[in-house]
Amino acid sequence: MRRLRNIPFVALLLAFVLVLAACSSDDADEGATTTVADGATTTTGGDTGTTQPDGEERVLSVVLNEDPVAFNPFPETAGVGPVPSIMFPNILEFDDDNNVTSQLVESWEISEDAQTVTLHVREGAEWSDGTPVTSADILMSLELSLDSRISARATRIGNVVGMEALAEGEAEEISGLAAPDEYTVTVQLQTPDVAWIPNLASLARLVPTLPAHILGDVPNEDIPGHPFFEELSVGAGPYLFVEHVAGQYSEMVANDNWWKGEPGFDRLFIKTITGGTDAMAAQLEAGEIQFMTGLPALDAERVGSIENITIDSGDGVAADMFQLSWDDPLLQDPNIRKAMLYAINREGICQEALLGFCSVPLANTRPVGLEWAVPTDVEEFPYDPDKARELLAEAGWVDGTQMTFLHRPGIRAQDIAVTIAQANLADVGIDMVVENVDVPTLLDRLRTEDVRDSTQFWMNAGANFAMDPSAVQPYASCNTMFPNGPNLSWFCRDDVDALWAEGRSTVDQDARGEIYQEAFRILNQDPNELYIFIADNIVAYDSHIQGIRPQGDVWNQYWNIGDWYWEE
Amino acid sequence: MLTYIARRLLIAIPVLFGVMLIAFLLVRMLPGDPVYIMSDPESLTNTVLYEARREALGLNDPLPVQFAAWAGEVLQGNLGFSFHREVPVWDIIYPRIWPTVLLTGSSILAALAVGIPAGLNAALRQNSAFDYTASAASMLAISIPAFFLGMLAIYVFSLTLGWLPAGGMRTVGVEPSISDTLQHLILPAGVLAAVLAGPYTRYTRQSVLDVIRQEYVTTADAKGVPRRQVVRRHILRNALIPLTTVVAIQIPSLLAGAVVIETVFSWPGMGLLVIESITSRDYPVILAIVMLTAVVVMLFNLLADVITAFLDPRVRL
Repeated sequence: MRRLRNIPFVALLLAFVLVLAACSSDDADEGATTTVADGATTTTGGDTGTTQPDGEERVLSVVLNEDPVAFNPFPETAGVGPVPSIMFPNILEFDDDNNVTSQLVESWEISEDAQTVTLHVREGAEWSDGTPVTSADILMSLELSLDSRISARATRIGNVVGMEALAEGEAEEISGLAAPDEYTVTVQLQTPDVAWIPNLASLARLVPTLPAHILGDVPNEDIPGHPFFEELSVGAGPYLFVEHVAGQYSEMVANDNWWKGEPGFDRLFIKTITGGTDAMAAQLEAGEIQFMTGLPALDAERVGSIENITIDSGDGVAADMFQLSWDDPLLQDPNIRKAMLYAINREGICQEALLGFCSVPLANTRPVGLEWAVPTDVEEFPYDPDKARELLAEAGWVDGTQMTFLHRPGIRAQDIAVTIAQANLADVGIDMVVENVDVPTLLDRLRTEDVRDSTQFWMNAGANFAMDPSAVQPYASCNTMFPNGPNLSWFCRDDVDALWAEGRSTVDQDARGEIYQEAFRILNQDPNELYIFIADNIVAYDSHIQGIRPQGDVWNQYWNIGDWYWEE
Repeated sequence: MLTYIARRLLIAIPVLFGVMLIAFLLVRMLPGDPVYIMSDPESLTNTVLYEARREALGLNDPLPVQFAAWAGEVLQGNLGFSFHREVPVWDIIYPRIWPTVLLTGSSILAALAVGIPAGLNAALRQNSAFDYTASAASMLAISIPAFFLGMLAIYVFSLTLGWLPAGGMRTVGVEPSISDTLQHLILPAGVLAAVLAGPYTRYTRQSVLDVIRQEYVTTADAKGVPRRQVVRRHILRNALIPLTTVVAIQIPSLLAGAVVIETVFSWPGMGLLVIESITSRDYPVILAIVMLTAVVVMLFNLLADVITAFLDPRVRL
């Protein structure tokens, strides 16, 4: 009898859990947008990453660190996730060696005067509904990406004849874009620009190829809210969209019409794991996902020791840096900024925080690789606290003066770097006061002059500087000073701006190299940023998966996912 | 009782309006421009797009106008459009409600199922081995941070023993089923329940110890009422009165605790949405979640009062 008295409560508990679990199971279906793409079939059942007992279906689960906000690639960069770029191959992209590549554009060239770009579309490629991929698709996709009324990418690509006329409503199309035949697209540039192709490629997933036979008649202004981007009913990539379940995953199936043949898996799940890399690593270890990117170096050895897990890495494409408030009164003397470089043990940080999965740009230059554009005859800044003290003394630095640093905590390597740098700077007489902020607060603090006065430097990272030196320009140019551009340090020198403009329009590669080298010589002696380390991107995956070619860009890892396959 | 409930619901209206106003002001005091967060930094030179977006979101209007517009929509049952996702807020929140209700609800029930008997037995056998064990266990549960307990649970039950999934709410590639959801629920709900069971045990124990010394308990014992009946009718019933209030008051902090658990276990509930919305300064979503939480807290407080009246006939509502 005594036990029986607890039965109602236990029954209530069980009933509650069962009812809600049932609701939640159903909810996963109800809340999802389920669309089976043309030409694709979906099947159910399956054991992630392994073959079914009957050996018919193979499923791959990979990871995404945020729930996709939407699948429309035009309005913003954030939150789109990899689904659109897997379905709609990027017009141009970059491979694991940072070379320009493309699925649907077979070759590309720029004229000798660097004012005409020609793209040759791959013949034989089809959309999943059987419609051939032609120059009309590339043309329409480029025009949408270049329409600044709807595309956040327009100014980043830029420099195409007729863009302004379209934006101002004086024309209905961009006159500089043309499709002379079914498989050729030409782009007329306003000014010579040999960097136009690598810059377009560096945007990769932000400039996808969309189906003109579906969206071609839709006015540009209706594109952002078009239902096609909820249905994603037709694609030309290796996998096609099936459904997205909020906060959980996106499901895709193999595209039977993919131009390369059958992709390596029947179904692909892109799981949303927002709990950080620890949660990802746990799911990888438990076999719930088969691939993760952005593995912290400090976990690499442990995760790599797990049976059937392979660790690999791609060379980094951008530095994690301390950006300086270049015009701050405390930092006016370049010797103080150079002293900070000497004072911080960047190689020590690279070893301590990243276990060597990194490199250190000792000469403090932002481009990664690109030897032709980076000068070698410049000052290097190895760890040398005595030299730092000497420079500070020359600059009349008062020992113990405070500098405020805004930090976004949460990334372990950066957290460690800040701790070490704080001790290093204290050692030479700079009191680095660390304030923890989030991104909105950081941007708010850097937006106005009076607030900037209380901030001397902050943490930043990102983008790709391994493709062309012109990528540095927006971060160190007078006309892109935040909030009118990404130049957060408010670096502004007319001589550097002139070099940026000259470098962009010079056709000859050697001459271009000289111009950029000169710009980086100036930045070497008048630094606006302290490049702490260039972190490699570490990926971990089930050793059965073949074909993975890791990149330095953490969230561009799925660029060749169609080539991945399972090998017993 | 019905009059009381109706009166409380009427009082809730001005309270909710106050919550709306305060929440709106607090959220708008957060530093940061949502449009900058939404924008690709390299595209910021496109000031036309930036201004158009601010105008479209109504951010250029004076604050009172913005509040009136938002409050007007909310009163009509429209929670607005997400800045970040550009879809109705309800469409974002709705799929997240059930996972959170499932997680928190099952955790509370499991914690009560453990905490009440443990606290009761610990008090009835004060200073016994069981009492010391229950007290030590509950203190341990209170002391260990939820995220640590979560990671420990994943290490032991997922990675070492391989009994349960390490995260998520369902196995991808498998048809959704109750058993699959339950498997994924056990660890996060178990950890959250363990964290809650500690205080529930302590409250119940203390409450029972208070009641057990009351004269009416002594009288019942003296009258020869069977001990089991004394415990059930006189001790437990009275001891549970403060616990109902505690459970109701804990709802907001429980939601906060769920944020941590949802993060550790990648559970697709409201907690993660709260974090995403705050970091992206998605005002409509933040405000909708605050309002929803306020309604839940008020309803649970009302429920606690009703349960108290049910448990204690002296309380007249």
